[in-house]
Amino acid sequence: MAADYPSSIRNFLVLYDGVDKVIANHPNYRGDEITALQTLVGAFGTGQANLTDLRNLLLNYIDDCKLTYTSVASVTVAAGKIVITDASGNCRWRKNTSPVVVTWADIDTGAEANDTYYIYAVADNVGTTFTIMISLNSTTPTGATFYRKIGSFVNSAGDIERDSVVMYPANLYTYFGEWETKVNDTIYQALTDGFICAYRGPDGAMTVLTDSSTPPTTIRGRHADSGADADDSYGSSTVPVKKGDYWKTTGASNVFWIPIKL
Amino acid sequence: MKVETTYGYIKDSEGHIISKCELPKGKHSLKNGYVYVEVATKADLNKIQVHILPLSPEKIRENKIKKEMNRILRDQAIKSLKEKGEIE
Repeated sequence: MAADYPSSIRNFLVLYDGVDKVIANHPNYRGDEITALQTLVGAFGTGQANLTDLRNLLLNYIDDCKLTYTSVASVTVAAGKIVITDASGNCRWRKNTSPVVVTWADIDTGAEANDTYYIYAVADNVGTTFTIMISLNSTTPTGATFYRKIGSFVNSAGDIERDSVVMYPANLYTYFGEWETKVNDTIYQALTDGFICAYRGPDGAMTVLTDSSTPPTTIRGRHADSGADADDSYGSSTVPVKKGDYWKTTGASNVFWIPIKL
Repeated sequence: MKVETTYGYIKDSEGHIISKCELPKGKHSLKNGYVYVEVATKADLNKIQVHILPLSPEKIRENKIKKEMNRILRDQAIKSLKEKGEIE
């Protein structure tokens, strides 16, 4: 096969029965035209290896398709585009133009349990869109051929935990989740990275503590104002918390948590 | 420590309740010298009172000094502004 792939579609010579004599140039001319990957991608570079590299690059492509918490019984996969492969690396490029609400009706096998579930984009259907499957299996959903893991969540006490919903790959999308009101003098564990925002009224002392074991004893934020007087001031602290660490506040009048979603 | 209901509290070595807890079910690390006590529901947790450490005599004394200092400064500022005719 010739290496000089065309950059535009050729107009083939039309042959007629009983009129034209077939010469070697006719089939050779067609044979120069296209090979498998060029059919898919179009002419690119000068060799087949370049196209394989390009295809491998595109295998990881995902645009939007953000996975977010919807309710205790559902999550949502936003509209977007994604490349989904089978076990051999064959790929299908799919696009959803509207969000998909994923419920327990989308589980691959069995029934809802209290465990970690994985979300897969699936491209086994005929068409241009992808479907969603929930599976306990962290690598292979039951009954799917073209699939790609895009996230996970934890189901606890029959409810999907809001902060447990994460998207893969973890470093692709980072955004803030919803504000949550928390209670002073109460220890929490951060299910994702996030921030504590706490404040107190005049005449008081507040601390924000967080570390890797409970009760957290490492002070990361502190503010105090003594005496009921004319220079009374409010105080606040904003403290980052690592995923898995414990945190609490003391002396705060209002406490908020905002998770970083992945 | 093992959390089974999500709700509980922690006591220090003197038996004081130092904090409430709302933790995911499962195993968690607990620092030495502390005891975890679990309660059944959020309503039960709301009834728990966290121990407030009493102020030391030194702290009480310092707070009194600060309050008096602020009062004196405030009185002097008011007097000065009145003498300048800036406030009544």
